[in-house]
Amino acid sequence: MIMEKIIDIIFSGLSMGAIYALVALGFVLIFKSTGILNFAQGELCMVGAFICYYFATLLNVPYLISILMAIALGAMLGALIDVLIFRRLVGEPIYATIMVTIGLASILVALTGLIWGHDTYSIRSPFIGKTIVAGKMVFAQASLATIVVSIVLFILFIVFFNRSLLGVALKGTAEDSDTAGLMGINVKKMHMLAWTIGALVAGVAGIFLAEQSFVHTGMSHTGIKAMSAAILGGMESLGGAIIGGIIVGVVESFAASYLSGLEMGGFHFGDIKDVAAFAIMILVLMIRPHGIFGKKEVERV
Amino acid sequence: MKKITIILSLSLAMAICLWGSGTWAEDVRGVTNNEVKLACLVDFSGPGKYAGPPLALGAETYIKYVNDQGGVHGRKINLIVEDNGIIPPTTLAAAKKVIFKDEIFAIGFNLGSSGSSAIIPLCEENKVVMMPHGANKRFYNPGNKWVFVPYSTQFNMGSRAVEFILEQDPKARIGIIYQDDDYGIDGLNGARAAAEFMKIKLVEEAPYKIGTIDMSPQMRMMKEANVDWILAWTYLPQTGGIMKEKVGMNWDVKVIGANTTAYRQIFPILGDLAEGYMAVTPYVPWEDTPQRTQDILQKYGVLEKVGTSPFPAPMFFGAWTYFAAMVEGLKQAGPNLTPETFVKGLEKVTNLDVGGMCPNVTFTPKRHVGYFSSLVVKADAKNQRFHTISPIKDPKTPQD
Repeated sequence: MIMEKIIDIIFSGLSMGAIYALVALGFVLIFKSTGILNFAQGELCMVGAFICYYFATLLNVPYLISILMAIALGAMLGALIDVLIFRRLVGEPIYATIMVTIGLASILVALTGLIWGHDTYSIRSPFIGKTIVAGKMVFAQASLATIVVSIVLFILFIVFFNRSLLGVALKGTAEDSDTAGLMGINVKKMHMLAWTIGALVAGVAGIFLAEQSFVHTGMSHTGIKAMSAAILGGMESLGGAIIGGIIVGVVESFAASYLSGLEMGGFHFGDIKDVAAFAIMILVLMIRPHGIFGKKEVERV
Repeated sequence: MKKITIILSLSLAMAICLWGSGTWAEDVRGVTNNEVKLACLVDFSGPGKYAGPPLALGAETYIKYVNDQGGVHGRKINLIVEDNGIIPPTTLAAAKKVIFKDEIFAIGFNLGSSGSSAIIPLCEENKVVMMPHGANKRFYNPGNKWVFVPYSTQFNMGSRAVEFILEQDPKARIGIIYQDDDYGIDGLNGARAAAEFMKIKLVEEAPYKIGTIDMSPQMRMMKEANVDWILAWTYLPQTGGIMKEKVGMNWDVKVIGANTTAYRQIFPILGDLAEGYMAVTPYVPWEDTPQRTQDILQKYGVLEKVGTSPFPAPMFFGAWTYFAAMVEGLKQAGPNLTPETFVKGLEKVTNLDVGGMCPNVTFTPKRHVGYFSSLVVKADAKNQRFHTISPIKDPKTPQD
């Protein structure tokens, strides 16, 4: 019974963790390539979910095509954001770029609300309401799909960054954009690619999140938790973002399961779930200021 | 002589103007000989903004209907609809605006429990009758001279839900998932009171913070407590989360919720997962609206809109009921309308039929809550509608 409960908690944590990891991956990619800490990453996740909802639920388009449309349009939005806004801000002070991303986040929420409204909607997915029963364990198909597809995506990203020319060029730009430029890499294109991939993974995360719960403008708050996952893993490390996301998801799930229902003087311990991600981040950063996989930058003099 | 004529003419002109505006007759804020100003405070910009348009439409339609019948005691009603943003600071600002700038006589509807609590002192100070929506037991117990609630409170409905469950299954193991705010806690207290009255215990109580949508921890608690009925004192998104988790856990537990979820919007959100969901509400399902009420809606061109899914018909009728009670109070107060006579008039409202959409409303000097009763409805996902499965009745649990 206890073992079943633990497996259930880990499974639930992994499915949320996979979503955090995808969003965190986008954070790290954009930050490494452009030096911009994108506070609108959660909003890109929300836009992806709304586009998928628009095609799948409102237009009744087959689910797979709706997902592909959401991913494609989300990626295009990322590229557009780079071309219209951030291309001009590369190398500018970090507080200026942070404020621009915060402004962008508000604009994306307002535009989404204007187009689709601020209510809660449901995405029409073939996985919703379906389960797989294995002995005494029951697994929701939507959560299982999230975990499996995320693993496939992570593997694809690792192969892309290590084996493809474009991936190596992007990695090179992320490591040192000046040297990459001298080596003949088109840095502007690489920045655009980073924004495109960042928005793409955020869109995928948004669709998964919508499958597990609902589509609503408030889902953009996932971005802040994913940012803590990225910092936890080390803002410089793609693998760290994935591990950080999974840690946050699993710890949240354990906190939710073991603390919900405990009450002391009107304080519900279950609420700790919502701050668990930040609590772990603070603890880890106190011990390793650069995150689990981050490296201390050594400057030669 | 010329000077005297000018002074007399000016005095006469001023007298005519004052007569026209009615302040000649009496100095009561918001009342003239031919008009009475009422306010309807709903949310158009805050967290409850989805409720604003249907509530405003319900109030406006009912007031048009009353005005077309000649108003009350020769006075037409001038309805001021204002955005209260639902939260206390914005509600207070909206109440100040309608009282001091628009100079209304009474607030016929105010959306939001905490916002209503926030404006009670202002209403007391300025002798403004106020009818809070989203009401809690504290609005009628211990009660306030200026506050009237033509509605079942969450406490009443929480009690009714527990009693309904025990009617179906006397050995039911009941758990409750509730929102950790005024709304949810009032429902919880009602359920606890009924459980105590019926000599059982709620086997599990799981709170959540407002805004939470992931209901998996709460559902795990329910499962571990081995409940067979879940009371869900939640809003629509959380109810959706509970129903999704229920299916995801492959768990055949029965779920019964509050009036805030007995809306047709549940069908687009949940689809087939809504099947069998039950809710306690004071309002009959739209499809059971009496013909006489449908005729009025037809006359004012709103029948199609109110009747089309997913328009939240209970919200429309919520505001309708509030203003029906307020208008009846104006009638009972007589032509000499002051805040004091109005309170006395409202306290004379007895068994008021508000179109057959909800229980009849009765106020007394000792009881400023219109009714305690409610009905139970069940979702029919295939036909995207609710059916009444238990008729309007009072809870047996003492409510005062």
